[in-house]
Formats: sequence, structure tokens, C-alpha cells
Amino acid sequence: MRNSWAIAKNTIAQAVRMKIAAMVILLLLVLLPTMAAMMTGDGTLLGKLQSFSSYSISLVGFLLSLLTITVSCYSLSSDLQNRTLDLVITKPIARYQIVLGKFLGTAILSLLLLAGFSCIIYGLTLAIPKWANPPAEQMKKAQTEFFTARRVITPEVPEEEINRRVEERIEALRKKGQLPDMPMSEIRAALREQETIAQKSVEVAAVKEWDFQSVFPPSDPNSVLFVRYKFQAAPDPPNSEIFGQWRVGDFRQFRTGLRQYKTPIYGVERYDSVRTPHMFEVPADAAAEDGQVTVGFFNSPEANFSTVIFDQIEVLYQVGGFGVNFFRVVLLMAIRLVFLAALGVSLSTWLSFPVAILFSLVVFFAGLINGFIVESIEGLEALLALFYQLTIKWFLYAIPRFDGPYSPTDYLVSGEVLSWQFLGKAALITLGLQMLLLLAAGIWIFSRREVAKITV
Amino acid sequence: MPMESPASEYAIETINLTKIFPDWWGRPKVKAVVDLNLKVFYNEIYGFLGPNGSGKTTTIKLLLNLLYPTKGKAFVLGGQSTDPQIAARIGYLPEESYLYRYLTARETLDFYGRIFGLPGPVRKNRIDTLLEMVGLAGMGNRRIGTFSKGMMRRIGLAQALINDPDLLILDEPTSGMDPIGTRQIKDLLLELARRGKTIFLCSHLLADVEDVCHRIGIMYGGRMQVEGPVRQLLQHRDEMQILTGPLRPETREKIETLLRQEGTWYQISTPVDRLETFFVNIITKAQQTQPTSGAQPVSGVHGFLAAQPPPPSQSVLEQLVSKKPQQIAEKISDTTIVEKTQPVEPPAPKRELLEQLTEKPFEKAAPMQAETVKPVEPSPEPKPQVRQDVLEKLTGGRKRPDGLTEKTCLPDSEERSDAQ
Repeated sequence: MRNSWAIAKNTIAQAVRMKIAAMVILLLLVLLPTMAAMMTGDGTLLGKLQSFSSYSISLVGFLLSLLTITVSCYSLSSDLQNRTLDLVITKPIARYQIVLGKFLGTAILSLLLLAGFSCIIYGLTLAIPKWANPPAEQMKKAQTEFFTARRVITPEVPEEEINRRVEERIEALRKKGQLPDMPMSEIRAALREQETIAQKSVEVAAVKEWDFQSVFPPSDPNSVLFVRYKFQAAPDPPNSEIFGQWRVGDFRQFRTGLRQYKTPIYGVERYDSVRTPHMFEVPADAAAEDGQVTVGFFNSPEANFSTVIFDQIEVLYQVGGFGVNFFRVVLLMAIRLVFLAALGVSLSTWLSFPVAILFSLVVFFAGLINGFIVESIEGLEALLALFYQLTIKWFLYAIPRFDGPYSPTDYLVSGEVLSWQFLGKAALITLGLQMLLLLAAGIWIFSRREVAKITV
Repeated sequence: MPMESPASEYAIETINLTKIFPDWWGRPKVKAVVDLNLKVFYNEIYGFLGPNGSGKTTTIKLLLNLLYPTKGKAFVLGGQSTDPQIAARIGYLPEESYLYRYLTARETLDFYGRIFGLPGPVRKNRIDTLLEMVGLAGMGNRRIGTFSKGMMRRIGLAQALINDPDLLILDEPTSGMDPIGTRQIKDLLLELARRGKTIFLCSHLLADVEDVCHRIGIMYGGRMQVEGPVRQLLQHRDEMQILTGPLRPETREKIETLLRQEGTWYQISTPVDRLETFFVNIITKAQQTQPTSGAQPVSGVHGFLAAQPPPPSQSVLEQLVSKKPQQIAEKISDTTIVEKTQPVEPPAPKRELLEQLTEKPFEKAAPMQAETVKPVEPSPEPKPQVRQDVLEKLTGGRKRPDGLTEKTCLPDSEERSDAQ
């Protein structure tokens, strides 16, 4: 271990004196305060905080990822190229210790930089409200929606209900002899899509209820539940606005005909523009003791004449503070950097610098759009699908995801909690499995190759 | 580190060692080393010679497991150099100094010291000693990248000595070095051999090899062409050489008469210095009048070699080079009727830097050397000499005797290679 540590220290010295680290540091030191000062978002304090945290975290994550890839690919391959490793290898140090040392050095350097810049971003984020000196109501909004960590609960999609309706409709069409001349799978897919949309739609004068489970807000009397939603309407309403009458509470109480309600049911009435996310809050005691809460929406015929289609509806409630959540977000970024360090070092045990860095970048960028690729390739034709199954799919599953829930920015922007469980799962898969396999492969190769160049 | 009882008879042994580099298709392209059976004894300086591309460096890389043999086996210190215990006893100076250019000299030594697992204080001590020894004492905090080639060789050598190795494998140790540096390296090698180290010296600078090596092997085309003790290989068995101080004409006449009576041929001339000696003398003189800027490492090394009176630089020499600075006899074509000089008492052995470096009591050094010198006839241990002699010799006072204490008449000049 002491040997590996000596190599790690040397690797850090190399990166520092190569000045590539200095470039990244300088760039970020200039950009971060500038962004904090210049960014305004939508003009409110919340918007400013959201755009600053989003861009600063993305920028730091991206630049440090590139730095990690460069240093990890360069360190070992340049030692091989310059033959400085020839001398090191003759010392009492095992090959695996060299690989581990290079990995440790790169990872430690990246993590130190990440820690430093995270502190800067955190400090700037806390300072922004003080500098901006906004009206009290904006301040409160920022407190409840940004400086918080909220759990997001989505309603269960009634898969069984949808499947049942699809089968019913197929049966009905068959009886009428109206089944189109298409493969059954396509008919089923088309009907399924229609039913899924129908499931999200609320026709005029209709009521739609969504049940949310496991909603356990803190019992603090000030705590609130947020209902966040986004909808579209067909046909487009005048002013592009929809009037909604909402009820939030434990609906089982009046479903079972109880006269005396144990938990209150709150009503909210408001106009909202279509195709933009909105949110309102109700006191948290709307949730029942067993964690169930129902949100009801009435598409009032007096105000609306459009069918409302919900793209998104969620219930949020606070479960923690901003600081701890920010720390977990930084840890999520750390997992990414540590993986990239292992990737570069492992690749450069047998690839030259240009090839190793190219491959690392491919993995990195594929990781950034992993979920998107997987989704977009799912519906391929037979032959292509086979090719995809054998190659890209395997590759995409083998590399870690850096997008979707693995992207650090969304948690901060929407004040959502990043749970320890999710973090642990990500660490286990990315570091415990993918990274260890990579390192093992790198060490296996490096222990067997001839290190010296052939010179005759 | 005292030499443990060797697991094998040889410090380096190869058995039918063969390395063939294949081309892209796997067909044998270059036979770099073919059926090499190398045997290097403990405690000898072995000169491994050969023109460029004769397989010298490849052999070294095979010994150190940087390359894997196509066939055959290589043993170093009775085992494999991948074994950390064996590797800890080897010092290696590669053909070019493959050092990290972004590290300073001190950091470089610290880095290798750490890999050897040397504890902090020992490491620091050795680094100071070695920097001074290779003449880079003032340059410890300069980046290697700013060093000249000769300075890189020096730091490379220091790095090879950081673990106080039993076996030193040196690939062209003096390439790129100035004559004084070369000379100092050679002196150092002789001294290290006297302290019980085995040195495997790979070079094509024949003068270096001739001066220091006990045995040599000459490679060509990956095969060993000839191998044996230097003295034997170079000896002219049918000639004699007599060297004297100034003679009166009558005496010379008498000698010539005697020689004519003997019926042999003879030749009388005034000895000529080697260029190396001449050069060193000139520079030494210059350095005494004008102090060096310090940019040149020469002064440092010179400081300890030229044996100026006791102060630091001298005591470093003292300690590193033990009781008496080894002298490479610089006369190629002269020597040997030698007047007996009164040997001067050796300076009291100082238990300082070298002791720290070798981590053994000073007293043990001497007997151990005598036992372990295998290939060379152990000649009577000469009395150590005062520094003053060296100083005079280097500064041009041609004081003839070089510490040889008895009248000798050797048939050739190879005496110098192992004046001990």
C-alpha cells in the first residue's frame, strides 16, 4: 500500500505540474463567481438559484470528468511511452500496485478538486439570497422550493386496468369483425397507447383521482405537501388557461361514507396555463396516518370546454435539509469521477493515450445519454434489433448511466431529495461492480504484458 | 546491507537465455539474444561489452523482467527480479535516465526511496548523502527536466544507490558525462565493489570498462563472443615494462648494457599522460583559482573526489569511498619500478554517511571484502593513503607512487584495473 501511495503522489504531482489541472481550476475559479453574479434565471430568486446551481454543477461535473479522463489516460500511458515505468518496475513493487497507485492518484486529485469546487458552489448558493435581497415572498418560495430536500411520490400507473381495457377493446373489435389487417402486436401497442393517454385524461365535467402511497411528511404543523403537475388541453383553451378545482386529502373517508373526518380534505381552485409545470401546497396533515393521500381534479364545465391531459402529477414533501442533500449530490458526482479514473487507468494499461482517451470519452458521452439511446433504440426492426441486442445494448448496459436519475443537477434544481438508498445503489453498481471489473481487467493485462519496448 | 549467504553461486546467472522479437505475424524477426549463459560472481565488476544492437540492453531487460525470455532462464541474486525481496537488493541505472521530468532531484530520490519502503529519516539522510555524492547537492530542488544529460546520469546513479543495493546493474553509466564525472563514477564503482557490491556494467566505452572491470564479456549479434578476466585477456605475455623516476645518463647506459646482454629488444621513452588525466589536471587547477558558478555539478563531485582538506565535501568522499579514495591508475603506458613510500596512517574511519547508507558497522566492511572477492587475485591490502597524495596527483604534482607499497615489477599495465 505504501508503494501504491508513492505512485499516487507522483501521479498527482504529474497532473498538477502538467498544468492541465491548473487550467481547469483557473477556468472554474473565474466562471463560478461570474455565473453567480450574472445569472438571473426567470428574474425571481428561485429562478436565479435554480439556474446557477444547475449550470455550475453541470460545468464542474463536466470539466472535472474531462480532467479525470485526461489525467487517468495520460498518466500510465505516458509513463510507458517515456519509459519512466521501466525504472519503477525494477523496484520492489508489484504491477497491480502500480495500477492501483495510478488509479488512487487520479481519483484523489479529482475528489479533492470536486470537494473544493463543491464548497465554492455551496457558499455562492447560500450567498445569492443575501446579495439579491429579494422581497419576502420570493425568499419564502426559495426556502420551500429550493433550500430543501423533498421526496417525490408519483401515482402508480394502473397497468392492470390499462391491460384489461385493451383486451376488452380487442375483443369488442373482433366481435364486430373490425380488427384491422395488422399484426396483433401492433394493434395491441396502438390500443395501449390510446388507453394510456385516456388514463391521463380528464374530460369536461369529469373527476379524476390519483392515489399516492407512502406519503409521510414530518409532523411539524408548518409542514406542507406540494402537488406538482403539468398538463395540456385539447382543444386549446382561450388564454391557454384551465380552471381547476382540486381536492387533496384522504378520500377513503367519504368513499366509505364517514361523516366525521379524521384528517382534513383541502380544496384549491386556480387557473393554470397549459404545458408548463405548476405547483400548489396544502398543509401536510392532508395525508392519512398510513401514508395515503389522494389528489382529485374536477374539470369544471362552467369554466372549461377542453379535455385536460396530465403529463405529470406528483406529490412532494420535505424530508431533509438542503445541506445534506447537496452533500449527497456531490457524492453522486464523486462516484462518476472515481469510475472515470478507473476507466482511464485500466484502458491505458494496454492502449496508447489517444486510443484510451477516445474510448473513455465515448463511454462518458454514451453514459450521458444512455437512457435516451436505450429508449430510442427499443423499437427496431428484426435484423437491426438483433444487431442491437448483440452489440450496443450490451455496451450500454455495461457502462454506467450518468443521465436521468444519475444526473446530479435535477435534484438541486427542483429541491428533490437524493436518497441514501439510491446513492448506495449507484455506488454499488458503478463502483462495486463495473469499476472493480474494469480495474481487475486492467491489472490482469498489465501484470502480463512486457513493459519495455522492443529496441534492437 | 550485508550480503546474505547467496542462494546461488552467482549474482547473475542466465541459462540458455534467448530473446527473439517476432514480427507482426509472429515470425521471428530479430534474434536479440541467443543462448546466453552468463555467470557473474558475487562482488565482482563485470563488464558487458558489445557494439550497438548486440543485445546488451535486451539482456539487462530480460534480467529485470522488463521483457520476458523466449527461451531459457535468468536468475538475479539467486531468484527472479520480480520477487520484491530480490528487487529490494538491486540498483538499476537504465541506458537513458528514465526519470520523471516534472519532479525535482530530491523528489525523485524520495519517490524511489518510498517505493523501497525506506522510513522517512533514513530516506532523508540518504537523499542528502547521495545528492552530495553525485555532486548535485545544491540542485536538489531543481526539476529533472532542466538538467543536462550528464546531470541526469548523476541523479540516475543516485537513484540506483538509494536502497544500498547488493547488485548494481548499470547501463552506460558514464554516457553524456564529462571526463571528471566519468572518472568519479569509475572511482565510485571501484569503491562500491570493495564494499562488497556486485556491479554489472554494460558499456561500449572501452576505457571505462578496462579501468574498473574485473571480468568482461563481449557480445555480438546476441551471442557471447569472449569472456574472461580483463588482465588475462589484455596481457602481453612476452613483454615487460619498466618505469622509473629521472635517471642519470650513466645509470641509463648501464641499464641499456644489461638489456643488450639479455638479448631482448627494448625501447626507452618518456611516459605520456592519458588525455583523461591531462584534462582532469587542467580542470582541477582551474577550479582552484576560480570558483564554479554552481550551475555545473562538476564542482560538487570534484569537491569530494579531489580531497581538499577535511570540510564537508571532503568528509563525504571520506565516508563514501571508505578509507582511501580508489585511484584508477591513470597511466596507460608507464608504471612500475616504484620507490617505496612511507605509508601514512589512514585517517580514522568515520562512522558517518556511508555507515548510514550501508547500515552496518564499519569494521565489518574490510574482512567481508577480502572473503568475497572471488575472481580477482586478492592482492595485499595496501595501506590507505592520505588525501594529500590524491590532491597532488590530481593537481599535477606528478608524484609517482600511487600507494603501492612495495617494489613490484609487473609484466603489464593491467595492474591499475585492480590496484587493490
